[in-house]
Amino acid sequence: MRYAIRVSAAACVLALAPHASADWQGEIEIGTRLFNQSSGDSRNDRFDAFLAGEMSGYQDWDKGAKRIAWRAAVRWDSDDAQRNLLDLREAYFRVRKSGFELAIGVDQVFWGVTEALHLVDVINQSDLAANPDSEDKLGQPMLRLSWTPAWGTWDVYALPIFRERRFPGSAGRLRGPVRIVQAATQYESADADRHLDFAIRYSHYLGGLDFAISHFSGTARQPILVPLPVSGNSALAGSIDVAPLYFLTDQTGLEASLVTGNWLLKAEALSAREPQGRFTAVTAGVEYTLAQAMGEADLGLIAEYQYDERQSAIILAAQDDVVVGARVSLNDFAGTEVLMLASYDLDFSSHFASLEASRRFGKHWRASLESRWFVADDPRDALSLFDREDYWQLAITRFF
Amino acid sequence: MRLAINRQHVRRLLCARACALLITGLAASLCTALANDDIPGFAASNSPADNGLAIATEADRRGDGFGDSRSTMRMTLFDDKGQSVERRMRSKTLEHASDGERTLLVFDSPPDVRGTAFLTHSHAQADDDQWLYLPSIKRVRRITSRNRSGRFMSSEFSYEDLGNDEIAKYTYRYLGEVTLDGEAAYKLERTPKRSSGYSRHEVWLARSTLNVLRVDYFDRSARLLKTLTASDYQLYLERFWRPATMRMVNHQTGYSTTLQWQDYAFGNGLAESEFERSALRDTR
Repeated sequence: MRYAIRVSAAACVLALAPHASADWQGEIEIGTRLFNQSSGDSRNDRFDAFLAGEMSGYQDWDKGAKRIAWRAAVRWDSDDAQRNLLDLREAYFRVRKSGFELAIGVDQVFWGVTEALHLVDVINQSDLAANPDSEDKLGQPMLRLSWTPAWGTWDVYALPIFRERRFPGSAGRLRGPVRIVQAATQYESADADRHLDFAIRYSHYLGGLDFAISHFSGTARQPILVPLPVSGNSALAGSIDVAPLYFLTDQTGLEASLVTGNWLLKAEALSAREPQGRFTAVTAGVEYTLAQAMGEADLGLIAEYQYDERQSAIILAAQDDVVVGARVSLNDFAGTEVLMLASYDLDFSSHFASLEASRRFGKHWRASLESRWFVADDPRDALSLFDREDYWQLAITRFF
Repeated sequence: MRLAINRQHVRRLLCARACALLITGLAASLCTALANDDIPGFAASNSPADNGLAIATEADRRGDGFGDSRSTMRMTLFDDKGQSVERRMRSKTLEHASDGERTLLVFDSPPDVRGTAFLTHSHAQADDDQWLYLPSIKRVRRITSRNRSGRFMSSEFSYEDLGNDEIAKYTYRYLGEVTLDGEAAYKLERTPKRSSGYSRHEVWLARSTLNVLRVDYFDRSARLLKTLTASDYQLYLERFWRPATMRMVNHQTGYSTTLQWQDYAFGNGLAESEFERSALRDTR
């Protein structure tokens, strides 16, 4: 009965809203990952399977001046419970009036211009259990105020709730011999995961130049990993237990991209404080696009350099690295796309390579292939933790 | 002038400002009176270059002042064996007060690219500014607009074909009056001044309305590459013609693409802020 009343109330709202528009959509993905080698930890398999889904919808009123939007993701993994997930990626109410926007709720925000490394992107926490590429992000609760005068866009964020980074669990791969014990998570702030974080960003463009400057003050999204006392369990399995420590940081970021002819020049720079002091990191590169380079295919060539002043952090693999890559669009009916990246560490002579390819079949399906390869022998190099974690991932997605 | 067919069309397709509505009625009657031969600067004694430019300029002028528009599109791609796939898009366009147009194009289908958006700020002289929005990671990426000969969503239309054909981007030559499918038409040659996938275009404009009826595109080796035909023109606000169908045939591959427009709406009161880069994150 109560349900019926609620439904009819919602129907009334829909019927009364004169300029309302609404929509929903979804997708279901099924896939498997195959690892070339065993991890050396008896808890791990050489393959796993996963099922993931996403649904989203929105409702606009007053010609889009008011909006409610939501997007939810769910994932189940055959081996690693840490890869299981139910997350609200977005769930917000937004109102817009004369150049101002106020949004309250959960949302996702992306900052940055480079391809291989997202240095300044800080608002949303990464889900490394889902994918080591840091592009799977958790929803972030926030209050956002934006102002767009003719001379740029100002965004101010208040972030009241911190989300912990998600890492693969004991039964999961792509953690190397390190086991991250999330139950032992530590915070620098006495407020732990309720510290109120702030961020502000100004962005604009002038002709072919896009640029942004941002500042974030609050709990760092990337933790320091603190070794825990050796327990019988982990020693037996040959792994090291570590606890994530989330410290407070102040970080200032710059992003710029410049289009000139077929060239796209990109750079990100970051100055941030961590417990050991302030550090600087820079990533910069170019992308050159050739239309119809090979028959009908478009080819984009990518080269980037990554520098990070920090030498000691445990999880860090981009302190003096060169990245080259190619983006290929076959321009066929199936929308076949391939992105290849390979990085070389100038200090440790380690390599990392990644391949992502996908194509549509039928109207509602897309098949994707992903592969990542790690060649790192120097134990001082963070990448060496992943030396045995080369994998292939095959997945099929149905869109609704 | 946007002669290019596309120019008028696509630009709208993708673009917006609304200032001229007050004079719509007046303009409509003027247009009727002006139709046909009253093209400023056009005279038998003038050079072909001057006459070509005069026709192009007048056609462009007649397309100005539409303010803003919205439409939906169905794009059907055919291969040389007749197999086809379909894409659906929405677009909105705003005439910019001082420079070119702004167009936002959003994909509805196929579903794996749903919500992907292209924002274009076209300019009379400078390179267009163009951004791509990827909804899955809420990322806005600048794209190089110089790759104008690249194919738009695997179709036979290149970005260049769909761009805004500002008059200043071409030189013109008047080739004479001809009959095309029973309709009296002016024929012009149009040569790109800047980097282009084409050496030249031949353009047929209806004598009565200056609507683009057909364009032949010649590749850089001067061979006929593609033919565009625009048909089913409809009149909006008693003044602005829009083709409901455009068909691009690639003579060298046998592939073709059909674009069909529906639900044209003018005078939507679109604001410039809806065409800012920062508005892309609001795209649905």
